[in-house]
Amino acid sequence: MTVTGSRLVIAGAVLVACLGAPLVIDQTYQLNVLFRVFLFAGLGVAWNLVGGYTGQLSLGHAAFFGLGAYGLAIGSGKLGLPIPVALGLAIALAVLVALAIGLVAFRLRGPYFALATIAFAEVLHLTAKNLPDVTGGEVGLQVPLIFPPDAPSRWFYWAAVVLTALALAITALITRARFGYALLAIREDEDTALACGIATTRTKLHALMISAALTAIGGALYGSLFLYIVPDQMLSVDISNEIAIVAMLGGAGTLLGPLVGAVLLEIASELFKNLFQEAHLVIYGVLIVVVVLFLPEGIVGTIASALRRRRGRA
Amino acid sequence: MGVWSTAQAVLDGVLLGALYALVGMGMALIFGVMRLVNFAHGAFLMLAMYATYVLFERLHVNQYLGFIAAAALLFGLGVVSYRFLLRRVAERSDFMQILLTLGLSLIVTDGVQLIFGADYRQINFPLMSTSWRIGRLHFNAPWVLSFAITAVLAVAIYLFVMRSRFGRALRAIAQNRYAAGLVGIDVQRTQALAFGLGLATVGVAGGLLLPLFYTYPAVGEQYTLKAFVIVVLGGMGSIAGAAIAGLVLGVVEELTSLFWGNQWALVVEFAIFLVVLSVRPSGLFGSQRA
Amino acid sequence: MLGAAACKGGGKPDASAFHIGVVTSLTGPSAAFGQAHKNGFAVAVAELNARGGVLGKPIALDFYDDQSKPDQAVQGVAKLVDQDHVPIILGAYSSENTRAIVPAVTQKQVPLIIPTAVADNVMESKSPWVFRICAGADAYAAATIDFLKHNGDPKTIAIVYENTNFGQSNVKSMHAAATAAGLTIVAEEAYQASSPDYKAMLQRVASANPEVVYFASYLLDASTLMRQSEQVGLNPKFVTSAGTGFAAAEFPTEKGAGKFAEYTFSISQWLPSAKWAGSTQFDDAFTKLAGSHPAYHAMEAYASLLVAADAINRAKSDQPKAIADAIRQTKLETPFGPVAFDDKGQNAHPVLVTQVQGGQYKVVWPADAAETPLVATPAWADRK
Repeated sequence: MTVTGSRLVIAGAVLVACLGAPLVIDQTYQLNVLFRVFLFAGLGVAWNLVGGYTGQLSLGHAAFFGLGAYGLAIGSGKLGLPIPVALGLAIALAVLVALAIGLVAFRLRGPYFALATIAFAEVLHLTAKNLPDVTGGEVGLQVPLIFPPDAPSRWFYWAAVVLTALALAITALITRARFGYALLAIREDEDTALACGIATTRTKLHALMISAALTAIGGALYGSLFLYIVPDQMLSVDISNEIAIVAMLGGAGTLLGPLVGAVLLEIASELFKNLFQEAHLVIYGVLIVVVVLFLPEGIVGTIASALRRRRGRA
Repeated sequence: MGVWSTAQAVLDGVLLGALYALVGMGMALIFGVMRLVNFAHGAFLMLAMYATYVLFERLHVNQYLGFIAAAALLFGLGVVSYRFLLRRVAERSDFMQILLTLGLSLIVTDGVQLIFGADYRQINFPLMSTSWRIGRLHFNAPWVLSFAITAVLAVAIYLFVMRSRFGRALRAIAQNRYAAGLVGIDVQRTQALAFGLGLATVGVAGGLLLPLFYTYPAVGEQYTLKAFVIVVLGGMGSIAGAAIAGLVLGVVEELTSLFWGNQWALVVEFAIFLVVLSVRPSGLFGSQRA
Repeated sequence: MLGAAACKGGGKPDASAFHIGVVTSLTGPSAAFGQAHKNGFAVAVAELNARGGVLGKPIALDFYDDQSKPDQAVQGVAKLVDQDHVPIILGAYSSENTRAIVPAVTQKQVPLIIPTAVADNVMESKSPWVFRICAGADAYAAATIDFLKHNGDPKTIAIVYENTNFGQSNVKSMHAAATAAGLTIVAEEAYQASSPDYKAMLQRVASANPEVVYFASYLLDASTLMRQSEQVGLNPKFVTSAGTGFAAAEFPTEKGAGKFAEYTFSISQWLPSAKWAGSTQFDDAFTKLAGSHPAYHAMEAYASLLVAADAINRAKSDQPKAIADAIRQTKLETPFGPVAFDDKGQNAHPVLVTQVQGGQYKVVWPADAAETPLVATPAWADRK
């Protein structure tokens, strides 16, 4: 069996194991925690396409996340569309907004790009707050349940696992294709990439649009699980930060980094809350600082580098 | 809206904008020298507000002197956190630096809540109710006083950075860190002091904001975003640019509130920010070096 | 592995105590009110346990911090029910978070007693598992309009509100009530509470020259709004408000708006001076614990636990269904007033209109509860 072949088998086995988890775990609470783990894993992997592989630090992914949920809620609620159509509309909307954001923000580099993405997400956030006729404002908006009403937690968990698997598969395919090399080239040196004939802006735009589509699916799932959304929750800076933190802490630009980051952070955050009460955010902050100081390339990135060094020495 | 209302809004905008200017100048100092986007900026502002609050309530230090101690405290914290935390990630990607400041921000914000609780806190002093009128323009004494102190300090910081030997070292590092090292500037030490100075500046802003406002652990959040806007509008790293951008932002906020509605002020702010970024990424007042 | 880890985090349900779940905001922007909840509950726990707890066991509260985020509140319901096996939940603090957990408790079939959420959309699902102790935004608006109709019958009103669920719900209720009563709404202004300067917004209101202003504001914005009203010369005949900041213990004192609070009217759900037995005792116990006087949010938390304990004792059961049925039958005299729920789960709590007179809240409406007549609001220039 080839290396790729055996990896595929392992990946398939892990996926089956993850999908089978609800047979063992039937508590809503634990499933909801696991849902969050895989949701943020999927979002982190999607973010990684732009943030990790292309090196464009987006801190505004809440925009796509929120558009996914609001697109679904407004499409099916106010416009009366069937749920799959509303979901499709939500994704299309997020992709279009990604295009708009990208056209402006990709002309900027480094921290400028990051700040532009924050500003875009905040404009959407505040506008959603200020237009209660469209979004329900802070009074909130009902989101339809997209899964059968009995045991919905299980369905949401499965959906999050599938989202993560989908994001990972897309990332794995891209990194092996010409498109993926173009992304890496941009990350390493954008000017040289341009000189080599890579259409840098278009490449970056495509990466952002794929990332936005996956993020919108995640947002729609999240909104539908909670049935009720408000702008301060769906479009907040906190969501953008959490997505980026999960990916960066796990290892930006590594395939499995965001997955590892999500497992660590989401479970830690839930445990800390139960163990430390009001102090849990301090502990969470310390965890972030410690990882940054001692694992400079994120968890997976640092381990991979260490392995590579050891192999090099041997 | 009449002429007087508009004039009053512009006046209030300048008074408010001066504080924004200080917040932005602190961020500009840090960004200019270290290329570091400090996501803990607002958390440190909040910390300065609490320091001033404690001095006033417990030790009865005058509300217009507390900011000095707050600034000193933040200067120390800045130098320490540079030495032990930021220096270790200085050569790494922007990503890790941003993560580190996000982590710091959580620790400071939740730490303050653990110590002081989540209650809103406000100080009271007789001057608060004192106001003067000139024509139909209205001047509230604490705002005028905070403005006066802010203006003096902003000019002092500007002159310090532009004229002093230390300021020259700062600017040399901002232009080219490696060349600065080669000509004998102690880059690490200067950066530690720059981070301290940046936090001290935002500390002054916090100390002077307390008499006008109230504080609670999450009060700083919005100022981090505001500082980003100011620094970009002013031209990343330009101290004078940040000062002017802060004033402009204050006036824009007040005029938006007057003519359109308070809840749109931040939207307009971010929209201007995006337009400037896409048309003139070097900022309204910066030199072309982005 | 996670299952085991999460179990450890939740702690084994301790069989020697009766566990009641609380979802509230211990951190984040609403934490000040979450802490008021916590203290209010603590007073109730001490009092109830001194009387022997429920079903022969002391009461233990399992808190879940929702971080002032609605999704976390939902997570809290799942955790409290699945891990801690609580048969009843109290909370959340804010209207947003409460609205978010209503579907969750309905799905879990666990009763929820809502202490403080004023927005009326928390009750709109008509879930049989949801009960609310406090009066809602519609009741606030109705009481304010009723008061105005009988006291000078003004014709124009401006509504100023914080851009949150609380504010937006109150503006919706007041808009409907004022329109129905024939008042002209001359301005509706939303604001972000994070801004230190409201003068431009208040100038907009002043330029519409309303006879009445209705504020729906949080804690310390109320002080800032009143100070700055004086500065811009906003001087309506009636400054009315939907409680909260305008009804906080500090508001009429030097720690709040001080003399600028004088003559303002507010909706109140409860005051330490309320006529119901036990009010002063609660005030004393709370003050001893927290170091400051309680606002009605703490009282509402306290009362919700009294109601829960009463229902559990009557149900003689630790099963959610039995407890929910018992809550529905509640007829309890509490320091918050008599509590009984209608078929929608709403407690018909009387709403008072107070006026700040000489630094004190005085009840001025409804007529049968009034402590003193109202005092007309003088021009700013004529005040000392």
